[in-house]
Amino acid sequence: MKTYKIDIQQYFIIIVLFELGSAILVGLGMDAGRDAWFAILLGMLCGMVLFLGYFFLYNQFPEMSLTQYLQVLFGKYVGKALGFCYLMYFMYLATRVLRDFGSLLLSAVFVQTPIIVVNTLMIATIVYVLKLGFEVLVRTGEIIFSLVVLLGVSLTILVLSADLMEYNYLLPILGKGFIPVLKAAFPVTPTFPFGEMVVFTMLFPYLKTKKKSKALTVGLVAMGISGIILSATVAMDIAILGGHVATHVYFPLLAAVSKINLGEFIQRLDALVVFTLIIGGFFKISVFFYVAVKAAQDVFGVKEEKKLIGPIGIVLILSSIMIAANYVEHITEGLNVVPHYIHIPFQVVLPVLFILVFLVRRKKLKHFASSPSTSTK
Amino acid sequence: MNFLKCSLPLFICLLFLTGCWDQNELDELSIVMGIGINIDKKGDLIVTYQVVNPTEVAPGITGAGGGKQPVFTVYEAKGRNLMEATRKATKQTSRRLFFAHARMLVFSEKLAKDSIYQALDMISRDPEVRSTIQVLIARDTTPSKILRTFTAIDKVTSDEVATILKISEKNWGENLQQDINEVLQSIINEGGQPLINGIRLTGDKELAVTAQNYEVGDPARIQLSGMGVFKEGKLKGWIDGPEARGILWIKGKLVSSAITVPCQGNKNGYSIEVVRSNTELSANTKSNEPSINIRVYPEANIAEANCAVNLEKPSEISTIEKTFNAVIEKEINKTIEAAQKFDSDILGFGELLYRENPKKWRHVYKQKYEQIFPKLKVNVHVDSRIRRSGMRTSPFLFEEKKEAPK
Amino acid sequence: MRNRRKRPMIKTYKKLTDMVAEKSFGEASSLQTETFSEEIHSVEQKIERKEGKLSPVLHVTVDSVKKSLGNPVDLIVREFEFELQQKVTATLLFLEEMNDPQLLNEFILAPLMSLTSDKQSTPVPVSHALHYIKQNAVALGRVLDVENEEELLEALLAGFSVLLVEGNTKGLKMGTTGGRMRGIEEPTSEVVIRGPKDSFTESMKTNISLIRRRVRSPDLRVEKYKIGDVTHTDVAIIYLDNIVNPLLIKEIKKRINEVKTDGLLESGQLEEFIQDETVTVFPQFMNTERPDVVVGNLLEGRVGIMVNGTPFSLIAPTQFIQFFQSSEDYYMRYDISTFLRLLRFSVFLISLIAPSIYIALTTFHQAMIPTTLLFGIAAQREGVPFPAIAEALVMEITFEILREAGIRMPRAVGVAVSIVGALVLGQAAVQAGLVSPAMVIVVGITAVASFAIPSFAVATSARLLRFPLMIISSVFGFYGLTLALIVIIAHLTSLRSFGYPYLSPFAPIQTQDLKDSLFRFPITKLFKRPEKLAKKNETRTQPYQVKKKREEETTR
Repeated sequence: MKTYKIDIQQYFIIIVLFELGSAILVGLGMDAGRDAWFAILLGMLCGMVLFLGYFFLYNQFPEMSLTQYLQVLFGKYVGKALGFCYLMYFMYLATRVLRDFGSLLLSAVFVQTPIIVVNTLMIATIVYVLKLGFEVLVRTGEIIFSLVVLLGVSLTILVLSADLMEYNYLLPILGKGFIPVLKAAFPVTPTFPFGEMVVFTMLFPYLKTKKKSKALTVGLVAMGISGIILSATVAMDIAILGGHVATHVYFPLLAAVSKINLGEFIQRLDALVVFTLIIGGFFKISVFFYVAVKAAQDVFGVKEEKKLIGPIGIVLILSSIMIAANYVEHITEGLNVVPHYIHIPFQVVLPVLFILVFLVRRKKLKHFASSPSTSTK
Repeated sequence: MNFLKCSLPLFICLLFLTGCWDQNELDELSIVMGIGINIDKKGDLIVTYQVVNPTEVAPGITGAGGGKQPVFTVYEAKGRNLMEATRKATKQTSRRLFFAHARMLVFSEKLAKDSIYQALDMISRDPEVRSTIQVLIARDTTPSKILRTFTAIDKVTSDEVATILKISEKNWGENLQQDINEVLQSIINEGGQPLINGIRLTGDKELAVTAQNYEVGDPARIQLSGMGVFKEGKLKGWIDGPEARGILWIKGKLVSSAITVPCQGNKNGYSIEVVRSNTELSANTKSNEPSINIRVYPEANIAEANCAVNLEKPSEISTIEKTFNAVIEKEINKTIEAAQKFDSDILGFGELLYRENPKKWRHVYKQKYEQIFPKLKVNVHVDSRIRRSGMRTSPFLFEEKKEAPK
Repeated sequence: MRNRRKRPMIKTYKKLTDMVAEKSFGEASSLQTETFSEEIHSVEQKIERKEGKLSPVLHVTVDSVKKSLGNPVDLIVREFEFELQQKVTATLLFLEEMNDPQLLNEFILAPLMSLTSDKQSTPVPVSHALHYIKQNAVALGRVLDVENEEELLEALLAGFSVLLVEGNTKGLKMGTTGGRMRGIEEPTSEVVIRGPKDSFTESMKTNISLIRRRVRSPDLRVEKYKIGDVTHTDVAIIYLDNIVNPLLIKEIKKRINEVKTDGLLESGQLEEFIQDETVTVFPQFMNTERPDVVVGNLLEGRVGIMVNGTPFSLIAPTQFIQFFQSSEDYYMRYDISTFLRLLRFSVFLISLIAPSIYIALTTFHQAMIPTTLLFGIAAQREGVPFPAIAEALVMEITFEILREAGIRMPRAVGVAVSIVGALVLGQAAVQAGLVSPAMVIVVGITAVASFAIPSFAVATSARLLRFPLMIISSVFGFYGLTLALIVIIAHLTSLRSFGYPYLSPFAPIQTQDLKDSLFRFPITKLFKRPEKLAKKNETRTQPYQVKKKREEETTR
């Protein structure tokens, strides 16, 4: 089967879009109050360390995705079981983003619309795009990226020229000391969105590059840029809205942008933000979705990935509705349960374990790693 | 492809069968422009909505019979809380109340004295109400009266008030636009208290609520009036006049204003037009008794000079600058005195201390801020620059004096 | 040529194209290609017919021709005599009005009839008459042998005149094609202010000559095919051999050869045959009636496809962005060209989504409309009996009707249509309170915008997509609209034109090519041809040094 390879430019774009996707709209690291931006930067640094780990694994198995080399590392059965866990994890992530996204949209705009409709529509779009192939998703990402850049730049110019920022709201830096910031930064901020880079363990083999080191630098730069953008956005939100309001509204960005009023004419720009919200959510869910499809393909040994898209889509719709009874439950899970019991094992503990196992069994595995044809396909 | 083909008809059905949950045609909406909240003796909220009749407001709509109906109408409902009252109001309205364009939220003085907290939550929670809604307090009148008042220029009262606020802040500087976000933020700030604009009715109050109000030459008008000082969500009192301008001086929000400065015994000799101003705040937190330094740097023009001085002489200008400084310093000091009298940190000094020295604030000041604030030492220093004197050099009074034989 | 005929088509194909490639122009090459393509279309029949030579008896052949053609009125059979060794009877056959009578008279009949035996050094036997005539008597460039009746018929139908001589088993076909054709006029569908004013005509020969006159390069290749079992329409592909990607040519040839149909009247029909994807509303070929556009595209490494009988030629492969470019962009300054391109693209977006945005705003997101504007729209909506979506659909459909009526009507009646449209349907409908004036404005903007897109083809796709977008935004507001736009973008990125990504310089991003996409950089900065199209010969412009040198000189 001819697989589509992503070039380095596209890889950069995917990372940036993926990182910004939903994170730019929801208040990130807001537990740290007016130091949220700092918490994000901390989270970004930790995320980069994790990324180094993922990249190390990729370096050892350059032709294989996570679920494939698991079977090499642990043998067929344990490997498949672990792969299955990761499949569940990816699907869970997709479900979470979908639910987040649906709920937020519902509370902001579509108060009376059932969530299943909103989610179904989103999944239908994603299914259509994925059916056209990963290539199409990546290229759509390129177009979306230029749109997002355009929107981002124009919004920044508008915010600056509307003179809404009250820099005092950001002071004092680290006013409550370093501890609350650390508390806010760990473990939630590194795991979302930076730790979610774990999905790239599934996408690395599709990278078209001669130099691995370049892929690493580009990856880190992309993470760095998105981290800085996220941090700057949060700082902007706080400077416009004030620490309190910024931490207590669903979309600080939406609230901040809605304050823009230039000459009574350029005002109520929420539409632009809603637009970014939707395409960001779309892209993020798509990536998780695709990675889940890939994982399922390896675990269950399905030849044609397109056959899996429909069923997984339906599973995602249903699980996004059943995942929690109400939004508060969903959010509480997301802040208190998921990072500790799901994100950390899957993003940190297991990858570290894989690296250790690899180092121990390095010699035995050598011939596997060098010849990709021995993978389960 | 098969999956797509099968699901396509289903999706088309979905499109058409969904009904339209959140769809509202424009002619099914009542656009609320202003919300008024009062409290009755039993403690129930009386909520007043000012709803626009767009056909009367929109310019150039022909064939709609312009001028025959009032431009707005007012609904009033009672409820134990805001939401209940809002929904109860639909017993009178033929259309859904739509809040996204509300520009003004008026509390009654009675409610403000009781507590404004209960009214703020729903307003900030509702996805429709925008955060740019201006918060005001009806002074010596009720919100219902304010919202029923017909105004002459901007036909909808709420629109007019929001514009008055903006213009007045920019040109006179005794009021500070306070939208709901800013009110909430100032409640949350360290030791901070909100500050809300007052509004009152002047002129013939009986006439105000009738449509004739904009047919007479001297109608009842709505007028901004001072700023309400709060303490723990309760209205403590009012700051009026130049004292209110002091607030803007301190917050660095003054854009432009006109300030009267004495000259050669004429108490109202000069009128100085402030063009821009910059304020620097700092705090001295070395000792357990902190102090605040305020430095204001206004730039101004001479707008009026009603005494015989030679404005071509640089030394004369610096004399004016000195008196001007003194006037502003006095204004600011008065404001601080007033705030300290009310024992309400409307000026954000607590926040300033926190910003300067977060550790000390948490460990030392925060606990006894109640005691610190009334006695807080504030050093005010004004350094003004007078740049120009309009289209004339010296006033004609001076020329007259010069030409007169000595 | 003849020996090859028995071989299977595919094998010959390659050698033939090689030959074509060797002999770049001239009669010989085009004839070879012609015969070759005859082969392709009727190989089996050919093999049979090869046996049947022409009868040496003149009237047998003539009768047989008359019979085959059903003795048409425009078939002229001119019998005459001339003198070689002895008196010889000959017949000139031609279809009236497809031949130039002046050529026939002056260069065929006149010299032949004045042939006398005394002019010949050695007497020519009758059996060699044809050869002698070809060599000595007929003063025409294009004279070829006709071997059998089938060839004879084809030559007649293609506008040749055929000379038969008693006692010969061959005939001569002579290029006297003529007759009345439309002349070269100004283009009607792609008007420019600055730029060449000529345009293609229905005659492919003329069209090819228009291109040749612009490209004096031996690398210009013109290859002809015949499509249509009945119409035998000439199709030509034109490219620059030193620039184009050979794989592309191979693919285009393959696709053209696979077209099997009875007739081909316009390039649009060919387009539908050879396009990559059928289920799409987007045009996958750019069509143009301007020779300079074709040449510009040839220089970029694209291929022109011409169909005889239509002034519209196709450009392949085509990228979406080309529909927003006009040839004039390259003749005007780069700054204004960039501005115009951006304008055209925004115009496309307007014509695509303006009504949808209006619907989404007024029925879902009233909060996003500035207050004063909201009053205006709300006041206009007051008393309108339909929901916004119905209003919009009715107005859009009305507009489509008006537009269709306006196009099909004779020009004089067209004015009446627009009066009825503007006054009755616009003004009166508003005054009657059936639609709101704001909706009329939106529909009007949409309509004007769709006329401002330079390419008619892409304007129609916006027209078609507008309706589903309106419906979805009336049900799901901006959410539905955004998702629908994502679907459209994804669909566009999935499209390919002869294997080249449709959204090319944007997805996948090709930094070099972005210079000439929505923007146009100064021509001195456009160094490269499109990245993937022109593999062979990438550089098109060398850095231009004059200005720099001049500066250096002046500083000295």
